[in-house]
Amino acid sequence: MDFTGNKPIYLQIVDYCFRNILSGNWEEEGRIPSVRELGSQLQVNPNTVMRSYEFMQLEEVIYSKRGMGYYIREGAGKRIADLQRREFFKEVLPETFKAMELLGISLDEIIEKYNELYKS
Amino acid sequence: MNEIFNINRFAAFLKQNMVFSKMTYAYMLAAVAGSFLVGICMYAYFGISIAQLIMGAITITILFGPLFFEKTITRYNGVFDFTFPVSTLEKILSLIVKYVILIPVLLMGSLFLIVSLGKVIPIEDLQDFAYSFSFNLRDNRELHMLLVTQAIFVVGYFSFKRHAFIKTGLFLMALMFGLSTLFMVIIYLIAKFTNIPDVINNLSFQHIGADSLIFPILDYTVLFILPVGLWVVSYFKLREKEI
Amino acid sequence: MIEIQNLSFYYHRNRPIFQDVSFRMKSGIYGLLGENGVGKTTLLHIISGLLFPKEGACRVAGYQSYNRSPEMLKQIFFLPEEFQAPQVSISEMAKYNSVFYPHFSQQDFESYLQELQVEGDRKVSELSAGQKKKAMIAYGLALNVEYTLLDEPTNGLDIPSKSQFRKILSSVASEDKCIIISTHQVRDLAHLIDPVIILDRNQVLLNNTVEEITQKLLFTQTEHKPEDALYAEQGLQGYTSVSLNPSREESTLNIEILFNAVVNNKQVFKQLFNS
Repeated sequence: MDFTGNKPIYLQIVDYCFRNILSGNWEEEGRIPSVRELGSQLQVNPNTVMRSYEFMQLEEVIYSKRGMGYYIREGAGKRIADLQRREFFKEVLPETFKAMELLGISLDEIIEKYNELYKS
Repeated sequence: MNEIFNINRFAAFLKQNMVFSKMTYAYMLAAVAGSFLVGICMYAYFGISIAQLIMGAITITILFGPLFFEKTITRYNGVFDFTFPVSTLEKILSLIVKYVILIPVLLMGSLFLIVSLGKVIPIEDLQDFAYSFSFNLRDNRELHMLLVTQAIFVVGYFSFKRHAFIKTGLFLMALMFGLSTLFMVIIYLIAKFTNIPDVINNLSFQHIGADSLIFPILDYTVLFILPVGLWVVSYFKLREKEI
Repeated sequence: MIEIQNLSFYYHRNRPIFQDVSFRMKSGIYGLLGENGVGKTTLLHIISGLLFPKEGACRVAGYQSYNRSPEMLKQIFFLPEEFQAPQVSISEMAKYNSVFYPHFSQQDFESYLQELQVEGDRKVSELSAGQKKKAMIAYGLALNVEYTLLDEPTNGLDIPSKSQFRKILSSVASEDKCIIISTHQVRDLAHLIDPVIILDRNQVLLNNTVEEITQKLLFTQTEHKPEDALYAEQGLQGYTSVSLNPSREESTLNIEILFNAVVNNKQVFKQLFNS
């Protein structure tokens, strides 16, 4: 996996996990790869994966069963969606507003474009 | 004690050495058998026995074994040997086992077997050639000299980075020349200053007593010190070797 | 733990490689970086007992490395950058050598051979350069020793092999292992290296975990050069830069740019990390 951009790696790994959960690649309430397995798969230091897993545990997306590994929590999908919404408003939108100001794009132009694209 | 010598580890190390050198030993056996065959032909067609030559070649191989078969220790080829988890003592002992016991026994033993076989097979030329071999050492001194020479060249192997064989040989010759010169000078000076003109001619141990114990003691001391002492020197050289 | 205490070393008296250098190495995948000739390989040789400190000490697991004690050596595996291959097959080598290493795993060995696509039964000396290296890597990592020293392990490896190597390395790393990789090819090992050591002539400029580094420094990729950047490089994507990180913002360590930054501002970074 290519790690690009300014986002810390462990969060990029979190995004990778989220993608797998939302797409159904990793079964809801099923076991996810161990720290070691994912580290090897993504070719990153297992400490980094550990950090990602700690983050996801904190956000109640996964939980660990002693001696058995990590599992996806019930309702993980919703939590992920919440997180991503939060991120959109915290990161993506301010960047967009900044670009708009720089390029002199007005909110009306945005609404117009929106209607155009999503007319149906 | 475990650190310096562990019998199980040493045994496993000897085993590993043997497996890793198996091609060398195979070639040695082939060379002995091959040279014997050549010898038969030489004897059959020219009436010449190359028995002495073969014995000589084997002796040389034994004497200078480490220099022929051990690679010159460099950073390129030495890392795995030097970081191998055996003690320096075990490394030196494995060299002793290989070059003082194993290879001589292998070479002489296989030759002895082939020669013995040749003596009983009823082909005249073959038997004559086989009988031209003699396996007797003149005396223990000869064996001792061989061991000492071999040990000297082992020290040379560890002391010199390159061209150890030539350098050790030259060192030995220079040493012998130097020592002889030194002794001649000393005796000359003794003769000059003690006013006994024929001291050299009259030099004998009658005054000391030929039956004195001192000679056997000195004798056996030297007998023991020389090859063993040299191997001890090799041990310390190996310990200090950096790559 | 590897303890280097007041180490001084030189090959020639008037050109010291290390002068009164002290530092420690614990567990992790250490990236040992430094410009050419700075002493990376020399350090690995000292740690494995091949070279002796001129002054000071190098202790591995409590043992003075110059003693070459078997108890220490059985915890170390050193793969040099260039080496003469054994005259036996790697499987044979593993068979007879592994008894000396208590944690060797035949299972790991076989799976590494397969993943790296190395023939276990051919004489190592007959393999191509890249295959030789992979064979020794498979053997060395399967020994599962506490201290693994690799000098430029990815040199000569093709792209799929580098990828396999990364996967294996990641799976081998653990709390009780200290893996030291001396390399110039940081890109080959990006995101695996943690901690980072940067050596310089006679001194250690940096010896810190990725967490420590990313707490003190911010790594960014921007369109325009940040005003207060400690160091920046311009590329196709814009400016990749290193700045101080007072607000403790999170970012991803870019080892290559860190190295260039440190080497161009030695004193600044040395002081920053209190080496």
